[in-house]
Amino acid sequence: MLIKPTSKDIKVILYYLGKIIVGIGFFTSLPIIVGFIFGEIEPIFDFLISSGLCFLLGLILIRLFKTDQLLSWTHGMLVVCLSWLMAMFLGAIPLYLSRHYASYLDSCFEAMSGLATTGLTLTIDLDSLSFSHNFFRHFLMFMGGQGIVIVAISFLVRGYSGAFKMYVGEAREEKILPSVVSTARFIWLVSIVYLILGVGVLSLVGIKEGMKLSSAIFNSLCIFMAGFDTGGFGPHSQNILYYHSLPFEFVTLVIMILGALNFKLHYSLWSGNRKEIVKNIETVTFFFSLMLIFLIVLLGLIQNGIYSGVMVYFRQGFYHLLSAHTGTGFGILYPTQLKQWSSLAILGLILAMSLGGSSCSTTGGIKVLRIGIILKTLSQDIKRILLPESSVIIEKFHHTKEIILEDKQVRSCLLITLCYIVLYFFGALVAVGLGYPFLEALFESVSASANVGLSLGITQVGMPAILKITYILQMWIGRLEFMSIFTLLGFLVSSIKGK
Amino acid sequence: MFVKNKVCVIIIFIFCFLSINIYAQNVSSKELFNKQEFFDGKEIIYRGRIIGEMMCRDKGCWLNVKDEDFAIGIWVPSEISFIPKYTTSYKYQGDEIEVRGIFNRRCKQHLGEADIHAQEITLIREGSEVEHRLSENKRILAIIIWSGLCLILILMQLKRI
Repeated sequence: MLIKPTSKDIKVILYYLGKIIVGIGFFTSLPIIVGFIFGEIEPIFDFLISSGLCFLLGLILIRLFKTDQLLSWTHGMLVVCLSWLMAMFLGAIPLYLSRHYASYLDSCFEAMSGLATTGLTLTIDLDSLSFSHNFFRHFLMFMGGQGIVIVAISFLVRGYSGAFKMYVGEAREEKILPSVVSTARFIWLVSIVYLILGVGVLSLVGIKEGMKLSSAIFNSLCIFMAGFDTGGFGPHSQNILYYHSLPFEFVTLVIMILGALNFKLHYSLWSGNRKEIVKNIETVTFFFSLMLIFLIVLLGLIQNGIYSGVMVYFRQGFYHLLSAHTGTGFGILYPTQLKQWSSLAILGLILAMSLGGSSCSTTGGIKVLRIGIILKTLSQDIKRILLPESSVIIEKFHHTKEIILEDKQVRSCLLITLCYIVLYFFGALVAVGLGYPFLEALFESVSASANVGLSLGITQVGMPAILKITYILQMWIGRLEFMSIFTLLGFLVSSIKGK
Repeated sequence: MFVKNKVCVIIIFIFCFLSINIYAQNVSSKELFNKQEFFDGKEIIYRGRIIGEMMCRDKGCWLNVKDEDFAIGIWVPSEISFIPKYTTSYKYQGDEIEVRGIFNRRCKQHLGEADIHAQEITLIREGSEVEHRLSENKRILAIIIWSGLCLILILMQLKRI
């Protein structure tokens, strides 16, 4: 029997939602500093309006629904789910006020693309967007990559018991340190250290490649935030191609790889356990799938015969493959050029995008941990067939420690994998229904659902509104990895049918 | 007779030379990308505004020039001296230039990039500063929101006391 949610349930959800919205207000007010640095008066007012609205709404919710009730699992999941939607609606306000978006829907698309670290963009005339708004687009990625609820957990809501429930709701099941708050802070520490290093190196390369100091720092900051959080936005319409620089691309490759690694692995490496990188099931699976798919992409490009020279194949093929596999979406080709790749090469990219990077990282997609576990299960079943019936087969995998493979893990991995496949084909079906070719529709759908951001040209201002809404939903569902979305659906159903 | 022939040859040569120059078509970025194979290796004329900044390296500089649709990288060899005054950003509208050069669909010199190697750059229209005026509605809205916020904070504080 379904139990109808009570007013107490709604009260606790809205109370915590209010707290998260106040948090969103804080990160919406940060671009005001950028506005002051660059003397951009109008953008400052855009962010004053939007951050003010966040504080106002958040405080009203906190005041009206103040409660001492603790969060249950359902509440935690719902708070996360709704927080992401609210972050999109509120984050879209300053973007819409910039007048660089054709509609509020387009700015919602951009905000969700930033928060979910996708990187598909609908900005009109990106090259003349203010520094403040451009910084905000990339900062959305940084916040979304860390997890907006994690931001709130680390700074606003200290050590309360519901923290873990919201942490899990944001598709992060693994705790690195004993408490969620310390885990969230470690994630911040890693990100800030890499931010300083990444921005420093990128700025040096930028200056060497002919950029002015201020421009090199601003571009590096944006590119780092988009790269480490595997987002893929760029401050210019040409994305990474704008820089025309091989060293710059090489640094972004390193940043993308760092972003695709599990924060737990970062912790092991920082603790001096360097062997973990060659033993961990995620890194091993990621390496082999990368090599295998590179072979597919390479064969596809050779079939095309569009490039000449090993270096060109590596630059174009490997860069886009790594960008797809890590879920970043940085590009050094125009969509019309990517469209000229053979179907085999495009299929290779689709496969890479669908798999994604590590769990407990900023990447999207199925995740290589799940693929590794599914492959281990396959190997266990093959052994079971080949060995005598009486033999006991125990399969283990290494993920910071030796773990015995259990049916429970396999079931969960297969379930999420199945959900992703359904999501990939759902978006493709909608686009095909609207008249787009299947391969392009599938590419764009996987790119949105796995939060990648590479495009074959479907994503543009003129695309149908229904497709924009579909991609927004895909980005949201893909980023939260289904469980909290299922909880929201269950909550809605029990609100209507429950007793 | 010989002199007449010679004059004819010279006229034909001049005509051919001129027609080569005439052949350099005015192309938009959309046309370039839609007919990449056709324009590959050909001399074209491309017009647009400079975006971002000029990035100078060993043997030349990179400029990114955008027309209505896309931006494309222009490689300006050291032999061509061109320094833009304005480039497109939030505060400026960039110089509008016309580039005559060779379009490369996959440039061998630049590891497969699609670019234009400039042979001549002409300034069509100098850029300018863009005036951004703060709208009155935004100013009023911001004041209303922040006043409301202050009121709520004061009320919350009073209730606590």
